[in-house]
Parts: sequence; structure tokens; C-alpha cells
Amino acid sequence: MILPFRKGAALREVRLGRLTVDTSLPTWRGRAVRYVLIYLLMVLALVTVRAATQQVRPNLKEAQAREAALTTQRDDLALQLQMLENPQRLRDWAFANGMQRFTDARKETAKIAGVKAAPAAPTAPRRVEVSVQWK
Amino acid sequence: MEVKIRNRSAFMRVLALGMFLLLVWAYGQLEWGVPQAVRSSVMQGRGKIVTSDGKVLAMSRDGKRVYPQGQIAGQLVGMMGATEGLEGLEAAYNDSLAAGQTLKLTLDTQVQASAEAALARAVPAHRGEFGSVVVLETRTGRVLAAATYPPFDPNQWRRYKPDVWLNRPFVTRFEPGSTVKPLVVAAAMNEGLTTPDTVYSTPMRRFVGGRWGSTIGDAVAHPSSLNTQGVLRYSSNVGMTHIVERFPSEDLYGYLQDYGFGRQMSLPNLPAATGSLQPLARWNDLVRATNSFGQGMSSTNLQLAAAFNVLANDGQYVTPRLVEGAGGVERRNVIRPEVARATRLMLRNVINEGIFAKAGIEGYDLAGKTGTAQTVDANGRYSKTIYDSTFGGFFPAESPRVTIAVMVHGARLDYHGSQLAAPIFKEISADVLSGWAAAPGKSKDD
Repeated sequence: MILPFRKGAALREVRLGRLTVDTSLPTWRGRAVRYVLIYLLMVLALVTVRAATQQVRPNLKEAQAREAALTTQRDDLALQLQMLENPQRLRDWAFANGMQRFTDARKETAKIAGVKAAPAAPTAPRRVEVSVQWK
Repeated sequence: MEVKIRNRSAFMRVLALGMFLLLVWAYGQLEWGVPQAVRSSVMQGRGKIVTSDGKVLAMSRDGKRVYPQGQIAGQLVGMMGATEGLEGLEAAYNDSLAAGQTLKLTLDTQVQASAEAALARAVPAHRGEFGSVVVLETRTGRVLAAATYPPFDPNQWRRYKPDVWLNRPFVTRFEPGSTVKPLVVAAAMNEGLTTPDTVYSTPMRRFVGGRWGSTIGDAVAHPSSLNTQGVLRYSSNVGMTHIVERFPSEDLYGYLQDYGFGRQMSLPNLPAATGSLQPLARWNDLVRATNSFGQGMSSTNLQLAAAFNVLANDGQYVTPRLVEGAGGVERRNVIRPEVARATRLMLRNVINEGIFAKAGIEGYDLAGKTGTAQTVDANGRYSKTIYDSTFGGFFPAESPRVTIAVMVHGARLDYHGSQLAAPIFKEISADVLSGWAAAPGKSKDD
């Protein structure tokens, strides 16, 4: 709430409740200079930051393009692999090159010797000594 | 002043018209011509369709949908339009694929390739119109292969006629013919109406159905009396009429339904046809007799495979399943395990004693039954020239791991089930057994 001006101090001091605001010209000038300086400092900081990071966006775009290219390459390779692995194609190739099914192949039987008996376990009984200590 | 207002009004009218036309154009763009960038990103983000053995059936590359396996399971996979799936799994699972999810199928591409190769060799050689094969994993009902002939490459789908897009094993209905006989025999044994050794008088023809009846005939010459095993061995329709003579119609109807005939299959999202049974009210002696050898009813190849799987799976029906984790699996006991085992033994003998050269493999026990069904022509009458050649079987006979159903339509040469469908079964079985490197048992010579 703006209070009425005191007599003799028009345009110099404005009282806002307990707060008194100095509105004299030197005060305004000093304030303006400070604000301009702060503004300039902020502009400087901003320009500095912008200058320091100016390569980030192009780099990012380049990385995105690279990623897209790699994704396409991966998809191409996956597709190529899948096409090469096509079971119909492999099957046709195998039969054309003389593959015979296991069920059609002639099977021979032979008696094979069983696995040799495992070496006998050491006969000497192992001695185990247990000592019990009561608390 | 007045002129000024009139000019402004005319300007406003032109402006409004221009904005309206812009709106119409924008709507047209959205409706009929999706901007390329949107289309490309929709395609690129679409999920893959992969098989259980890790092969990719459909994927997106560079904003385009590609099908690396080409013709393998082409009809099953279907194809894409501008942004939406048009047919097959691309259409059935459009929402989840569009959300970037990978669709994992139960298919095994080795078995699928084998089934497609067997059809591609046999169907044109017999001048058939089309054919299909279903291979199921016995215990789980997982679909290992669902093949269709003629083949279809979704990469170039515009080159094919729409009837080639059809996923035949799931949507084409046909009369299963004699492949139903072992199922009916098992049901009759389960009810205590017959045994493998029960003997029946089996002339080559028999009149069935009283006043409104008809003469049932057999195609294969056989002795004048046959036991149940012989009825299956010679595929005697006359023998079947004896077996079901004391089978109450409602009970046989119930068994056929329990085998999955004439009822919807719970396959989530997937388009599948349902074969039909005649309504129970229309059943009489003749309908019961014709149903006992698979005429007067219809089924898809998937339904036939699932029904045969009951015999392989110790009497328990399992819903076939194509998508891993899709749920909706239904299990029910249809016949007792010992009855299923006895029927399997009879079916093993059908191959070993009857059609070994066509369907058997030396050293391995395969079991199955052929079928040759008449088809209904455009006039609603049974055709005398167009037949469906069918086969249902499984292996190893004693403890089956795989169930196979084969159907070929409209073959002009050697169209009998034993001449056409059985060798297809044999070839697929040989591939699967070789893939397992299953050791043979004792051969006949040993």
C-alpha cells in the first residue's frame, strides 16, 4: 500500500508501511548503472556459455545421424543374416549337394566293448580321529 | 462506407472458403495419404515377428516392412498396408506390433520348411489345386508348422491373387473323410461298444438308414468279415456302420464335439474357421453312419490335427497354440489313456501292414490313417471328379511327440489319401526324425 508523501520530500522518499524507498535521482542513477552492469555480466556469461557449447548441437546432430546410419547397417546385417539362414534355401542347397536324411541313410550295427571298469577304490580304510572338547 | 463493408465481407468469404478447403485437404491427407515421415516412423517402430528357433519372419528396416524368410509361413504372417496389417498375424496382432512389441510364435522354421517343401513337391505332381499341413507338438499343442500350398511371399504380396493369401490350414473347411474313423473307433471303445478284435460282417456294400436310407460302399477290396483293426486297415465304411450301430447319436455327437469338431477353437486374435457338424435334431441312422467315416461334417486342417492329437496325447484334447504366452489353452479328457494307446497300436498297424511303402519309415514306428473324401460341387452335390486327400498321424507311435495332419484338394492324378497325403506325412516325418537324430529301432530284417 502506497502511503501519502511527506511534505518537502516529494519524489524523494516513498513510504511503504515501515519501508521507506529512496526515489531521488542519484539513487535511481546508481541503481540503473548497477542493473545495466548486472545485465551486461549476464549477457557476457550467456555469450560465453553459448560460445563454449556451440559445438554441442552439431555434434549431437552428427551423433544422431551416425546412430541412424549404424541402426540401418545393423538392420541390414540382421536381414542379410536372416536371409542367408533361410532353412528352405539351406535345405535345397543341401539336397542338391547330395545330403541324405538320417532316416534314409543305411545304418550299420556293431558290437562295441563296454567302458573299462573304473580303478578300484583304495582299500586301506581312512582313519578319522575326532576329538571332542567339552566346555 | 457501404462499399468498404461489402469489400471486407467478400474478402472474409474468400478467406473462409480458403480455410475450409485447407481443412478438406488436411483431412484427405490424413485419411488417404499419410505423410511419408509419419508412415516411415510407424513402420520403423513396429515389432518383429519371430519363431521359437529365433528366425525373424517380419521386421522393419529403413522405414519399410520386410519378411526375411520370404515364402516361409507367408500366409500365416500376412502383410502390411500403408500403416496397418492387412492379413494374417500382421492384421491379427496389429495393435501389439504397432506398440513395438515382438510377437513370438511357436513355429519351428525347420519343420515349417520341411512341410512346405513336401507340399510343393507333391501337390503339383498330382495336379492338385491347393494343400495344407499342420504339425503340432503333441503334449503342449504348440503349432510347429502351418503350411499352405501354393506358396506366398509377403515381400511381393501384390503379385499374388487374393485366394493365395489364405492361410489354408486355419480357414479352409473340408470333409475330413476316413481320417475320422480312428477317432470314432476310439470313442466306441471308450464306451465299451467294440474292441480291436470284435469281428463284423463286411460285404462291399450295405444299405443303411431304413426308409430314408442309402447304400454305403467300400472302395478297397477286403475280406467279407473284418475285425475293428481290419476295418481301419482296409478303411471299410461298411465296417464303420456296424461299429456305430449301437452308438446313441447324442453320445457320438458329444464325442465329435469333444474332439473339437463343430466348435469354436479358442485361439486368441487369430482368424480361424470352424467346421460344422449337422445339428443333433437332424441326426438319423444314415447321418450317424456317414459321420462315422467323416462325410456330412466339415473341419479345418487345424481342427483335424487337434482331434488326432487326442489319440497321441493319451486321450486329452489340447487347444493348438501359435503364439507363445497367448493363453486360452483348453484341456479336456476325451477318452481314457488305455483306449488312446490301443488306438495308437491299431494305427501303427495300419501303416506297417497296409501302407508302409507310402507312409512308413524303416526302423521307426509311425501311426496314422488316410482319408479320401468326396467334395461338394457348386450344385451342392458330391462331385465325382474332385476329391480331398487327407492324412492324420503321429510319431513315435508308442509315445508320440509330434502330430501331423495333411490335406490336398482337387488332385487330378492319384488322389487317394494313401497315394498323395500319406507320402507328404512320410516326408515330413523323415525330416523331423532326422532332425532329432532319433536312433532307429530294430528293422524288419533284424
